[in-house]
Amino acid sequence: MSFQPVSIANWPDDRAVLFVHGIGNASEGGISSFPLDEFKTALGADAKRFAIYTLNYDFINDWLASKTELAATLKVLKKAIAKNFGGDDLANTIAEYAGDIFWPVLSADIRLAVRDAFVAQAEQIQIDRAEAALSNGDDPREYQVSIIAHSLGCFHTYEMLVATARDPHYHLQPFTDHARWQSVFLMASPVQIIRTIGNDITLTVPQLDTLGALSKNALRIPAEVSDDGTETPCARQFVSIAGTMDPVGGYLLGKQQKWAYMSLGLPNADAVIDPETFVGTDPAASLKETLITSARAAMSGGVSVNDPHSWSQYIVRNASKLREALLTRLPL
Amino acid sequence: MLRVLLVSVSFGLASSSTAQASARAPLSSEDRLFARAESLTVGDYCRVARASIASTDIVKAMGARSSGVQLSTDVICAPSLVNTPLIALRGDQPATLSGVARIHSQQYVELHRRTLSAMKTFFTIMRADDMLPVAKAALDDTMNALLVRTTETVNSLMAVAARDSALVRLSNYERKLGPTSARLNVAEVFINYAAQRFIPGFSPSKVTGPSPWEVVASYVPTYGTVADKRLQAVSASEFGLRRYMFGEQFGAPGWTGVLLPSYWSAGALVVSDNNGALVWPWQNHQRIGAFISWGSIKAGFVPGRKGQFLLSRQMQVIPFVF
Repeated sequence: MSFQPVSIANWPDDRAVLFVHGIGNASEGGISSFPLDEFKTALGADAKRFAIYTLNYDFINDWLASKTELAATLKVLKKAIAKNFGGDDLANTIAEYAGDIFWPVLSADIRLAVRDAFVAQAEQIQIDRAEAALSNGDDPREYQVSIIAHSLGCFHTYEMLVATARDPHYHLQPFTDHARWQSVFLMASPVQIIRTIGNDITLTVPQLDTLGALSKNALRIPAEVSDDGTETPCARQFVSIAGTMDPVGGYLLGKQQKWAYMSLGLPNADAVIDPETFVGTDPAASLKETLITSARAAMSGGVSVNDPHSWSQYIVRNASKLREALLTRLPL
Repeated sequence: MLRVLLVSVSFGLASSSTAQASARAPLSSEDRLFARAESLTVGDYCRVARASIASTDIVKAMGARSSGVQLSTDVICAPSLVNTPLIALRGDQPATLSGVARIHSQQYVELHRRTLSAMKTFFTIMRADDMLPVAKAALDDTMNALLVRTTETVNSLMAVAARDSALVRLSNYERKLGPTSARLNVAEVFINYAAQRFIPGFSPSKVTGPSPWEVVASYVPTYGTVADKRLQAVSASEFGLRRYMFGEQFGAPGWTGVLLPSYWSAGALVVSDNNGALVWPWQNHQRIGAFISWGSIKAGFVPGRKGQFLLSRQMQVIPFVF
């Protein structure tokens, strides 16, 4: 089935939010794969002010999975993740849990196809924004759009933002096209893990130059650079949130892993460290058990309780941050 | 006040048929955009541009950028396009008869391109964060409303074009990778991976989408031939190239797809003199011929053997193997 971006012609108010899902199978779960109930609870009555968009790209991963067999290559990369996390039993479990994040690194087709789906959705939101504002007699520039991404969705979001800020042909540049996002939330971002492991295997990565995460420069907020050197960031607020028990977010049992944690360079980026705890005397055993349970639950379309990587729980724990960022009107 | 004016002007200019349609069913964003783009002209944009550069407050606030706006205004206000609806600038939108007639003229295509480029420059500068309050204060409400509507309309038309380009690329990726594409075996996966990495023309492009080319290197035990007056199975190895056809007319389901499939392939065929399924192509005396496919239907010719003409269908008996 051909992809068609979600379009909402009539916004309830002057703002919208785009949810970008991560590791999992949102194709099967549909709209219930997105933490919309938690979002509505977090924002209370104000949630009704948002036009809610969702982006699902699992179907693109499925294309490649059915056409080719990259599992052997993925195994090599999973071993590299396990080695970086300490090489023990827990590290192997983490690698199995998180290894799918490498799909887009290994295939330029998949990476660029997901980007095109993302670009099409972003363009549609820009079109809807203009129509919603003009039909209300407002200026579209006063209507704001934010992104909330989770897990692998953070990678695709980061890549889309880098590409669209840099490349005029996408018509989404923050300065030239005034296509600036209000807030971008990256929850449990694996971008630094992909960067670390990916940089060890650059010879095997196709079209390295199309990967913002593997750029020679340090990770930073994607921005358009004008002829005079002025930088216009892609978003007015850029918030990165990592749970302290979430390996995908760059933490191992409460300790930040420098090779895995995505740092975007303060003060422009807002980095939130999200405290997570396990009940029990052996946190390592709890984490391992939780990841195994979560992986099984994800395969059956369910959700594991206490999953440190759970998108819903990220939303619940950071409700006040979301309210602050999404409801405050920033000056243009 | 601005809000009221925008609403009234926005819908007042729409055609009566559009208004009747909106009473029947909610209009999509695109319907609204195209209706507005049909009603606004390049001349309207020109009026806005001229009003902007006539304001000393705006020119002063723009500073060095004012020269860019001045140049853009000169292009936008070219007399030949004054009555052209904004939608005609898209080039692929059959908006009006006059628009269609002009689109077929190369001269007008170039003029449209230059005009759009000038409008983009104008939009970038006049709709910059620092210029919004200046324009609002310097222009009267009607002109400011027209500024917002014309600039945002053209910007949205460009967004529609960019969205459609992304969707075409995505559709092409689906054709090459999706459920109706030719399956690859393990060897082909790695060969194509290497081809994408090292051979120009095999990599996808952010502008044009997937490469239409794919390397074929497969063992095919499903050929058939007629030899000694009976139908016999033949096993062969294929080495060649597959090309995907990305036009809209290709790859449709049903008989149309058989006539106009989504890919063809051609290359060399290695076959043993021994017929039979699962025969090693290099067994005993092997011969070399050629194959060609049109979609999933394949035909081969290998001179000098019993059963020179071969037929097969693109399929994998064992996934990722052959």
